Amino acid sequence: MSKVERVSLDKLQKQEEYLTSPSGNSAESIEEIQESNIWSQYQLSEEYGENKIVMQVKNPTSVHLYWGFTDELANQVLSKLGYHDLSELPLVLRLYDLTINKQYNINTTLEHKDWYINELNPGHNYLVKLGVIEDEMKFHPIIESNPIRTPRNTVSDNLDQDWMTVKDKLEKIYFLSGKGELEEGYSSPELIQKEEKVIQLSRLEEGYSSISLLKGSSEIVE
Amino acid sequence: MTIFKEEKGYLSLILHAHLPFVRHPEEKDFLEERWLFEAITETYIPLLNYFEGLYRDKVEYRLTMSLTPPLISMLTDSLLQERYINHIDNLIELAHKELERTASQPQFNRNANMYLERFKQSKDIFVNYYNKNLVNGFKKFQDLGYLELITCGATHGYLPLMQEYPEAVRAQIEVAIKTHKKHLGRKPRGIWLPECAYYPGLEKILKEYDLRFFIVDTHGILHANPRPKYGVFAPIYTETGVAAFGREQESSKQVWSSQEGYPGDYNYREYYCDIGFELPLDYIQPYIHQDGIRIDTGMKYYKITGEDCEKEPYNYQVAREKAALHAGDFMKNRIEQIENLTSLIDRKPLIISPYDAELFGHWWYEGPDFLNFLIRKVAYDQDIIKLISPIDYLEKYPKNQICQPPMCSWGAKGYNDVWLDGSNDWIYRHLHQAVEKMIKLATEINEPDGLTRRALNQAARELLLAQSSDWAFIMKTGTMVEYAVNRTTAHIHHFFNLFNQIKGGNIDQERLTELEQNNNIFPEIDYQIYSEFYSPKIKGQGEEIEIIS
Repeated sequence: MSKVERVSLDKLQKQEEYLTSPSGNSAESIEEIQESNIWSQYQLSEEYGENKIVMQVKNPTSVHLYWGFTDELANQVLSKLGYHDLSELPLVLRLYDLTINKQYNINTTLEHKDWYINELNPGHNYLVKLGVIEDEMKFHPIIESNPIRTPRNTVSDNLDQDWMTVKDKLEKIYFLSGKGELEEGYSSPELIQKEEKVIQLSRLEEGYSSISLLKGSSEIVE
Repeated sequence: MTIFKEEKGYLSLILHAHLPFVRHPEEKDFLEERWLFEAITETYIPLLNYFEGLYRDKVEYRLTMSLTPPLISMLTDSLLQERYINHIDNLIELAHKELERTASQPQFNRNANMYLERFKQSKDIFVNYYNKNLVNGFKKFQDLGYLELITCGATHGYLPLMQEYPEAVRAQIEVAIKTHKKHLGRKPRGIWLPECAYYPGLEKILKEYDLRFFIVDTHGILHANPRPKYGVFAPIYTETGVAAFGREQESSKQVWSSQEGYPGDYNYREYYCDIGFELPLDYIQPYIHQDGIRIDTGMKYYKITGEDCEKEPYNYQVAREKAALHAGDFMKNRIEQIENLTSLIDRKPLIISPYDAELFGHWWYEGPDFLNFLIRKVAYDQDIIKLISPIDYLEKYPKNQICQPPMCSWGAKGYNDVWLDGSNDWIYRHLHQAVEKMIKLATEINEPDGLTRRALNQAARELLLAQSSDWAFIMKTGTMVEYAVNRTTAHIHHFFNLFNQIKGGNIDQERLTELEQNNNIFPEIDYQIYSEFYSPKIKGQGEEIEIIS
């Protein structure tokens, strides 16, 4: 029933260094240039004492989550269940695929403050709750994320054609014309399939960014 | 009698001119300020010079350029203007010395002379022609009707990763538009979304600011729903009537790709051979960083020559001829594309070719020559294609299909991967927290006293500066990471300090003044843009936002 998705362990370890260890890479790089750079004196809080879990889309099949919750909130949940410490129960991210109405449990730990979930479905709606599992069955949420939708990454099968006319620069007269008005024209699947082929062959592995001056090459990373 | 044949399709060249806001009055010689100086000498001035020539010769064309608010802010900043003059004076001095040093090496001497003339001309144009403010130059050609200048996010903030805070997105858009209007005299009609990064729902905010169009990468159109009938060769409308135009692959690749593209031609100038790295330290010392760090001076004497071979001297005349050939080839390919499309499409197709402006000149030294040749050839050598701006296309074709593009960007892999990665994902916890606090302050404080208002406005500036997508990008690419990390942490740190001082009623006036002087972007900013009550009022988050009138 419930499927455990543990992914990108090496990446998770990297996350830990960045986010949960004060002596991680990020802090080191700040120290390195302390002598030469006036900007280097600033360290940021690791926690803001808030109760939230934020989910952001990385690409059509993966999301990033970060979270934080207070002891007070956790204790409220625990005390109702008759427990005193979070370590007594497994901490779980429960992922809800709202599009197909399925849910998955992902084991996490108190040491983690963020997570990547991969192998999602493009074009689906998701929600995540972080909570504890009691008796290997019963899930008790502590915090709930924002909903997201992963972007679709294929050509749409929907061939409906709704058209709109936007008149002139400033007068905003919008009017809709119904479907089918231009149906006597050609249909574009061949055209779009041709383009799709090109895109698959040549792109999405390389990419661009608006800072070519700095990168020394027009083709960036990966 | 001239017989006008009607064009069969259109080409829209779009140059995205952007640099992050880098300004350090506290140091005399700040390495990263050179990004701007190099772009001025190698890209912005050469482009403006060609625009001037095209105007003089009455060449008809339309070109679209985004001038981002940080770039406009730097180009109009008096400190950076003075520093540019120092920079170019220094280069002129170096070029004079180089002319002497290379006296017995004619091939190098010719190049040294070319640089000397260019540097002298740059200074003359900068100081005497545009009165130190190059934005005046771009405005001139906008007002003459050649350039369609569009805007971007206020600090090039990556919008899909702030969509949970629509007030922050609104601030990025509104501050951008106000900055644009202030310096260019009119509201922009289109926007270059930072990194072409779009998320569904964003168009609702764009519409509130009368923005008519934005650009997405190819898959933003091809994967839209329902399936766009014309592919990327015509815009689609989002539900709000704001149009999305898609980048065309082939034309992009011909210019962008360092292997297959034109810039890799062996006759073009080699970027990586710079005398800043090649000449003895005691000689070059005054012209590199004051701490003795070797850097690019901009004086490069070699051509690409080939792979794994000894580099040969650069010859600008030969390279320039190559640029003319490449412009001809580019045009020929576009004509072929349009001819092929004509039988498939029941309207005149449009090819959208967007590039980073700084690619032309800085990275591809002959890029401005290429553009100049291309514009002239399109005007005189054929009548199949015409250069237009996306806004012109919307006037010709106001009726377009309604489709919903997916979230997308033009970064590697096409989505948010570059800006949400193991190297930079840690920033969002802090950025989001700062946004939440800013919204809270702006919503709670309506009529602050003068000092508190200054602190609130500076907090808004620090937040915007922290949001620049450039920092996350640099962290991902792995060069100059320290600077990007420090800029992010510094602005967030300043923000929270100001927040605490505002909440505690103990504003450190001296420190505030210092921040205002150092991070002086957007002098007229009004922190109220972050208020929940600010108009256009937005309800909800992400895709589900509603604009409340």
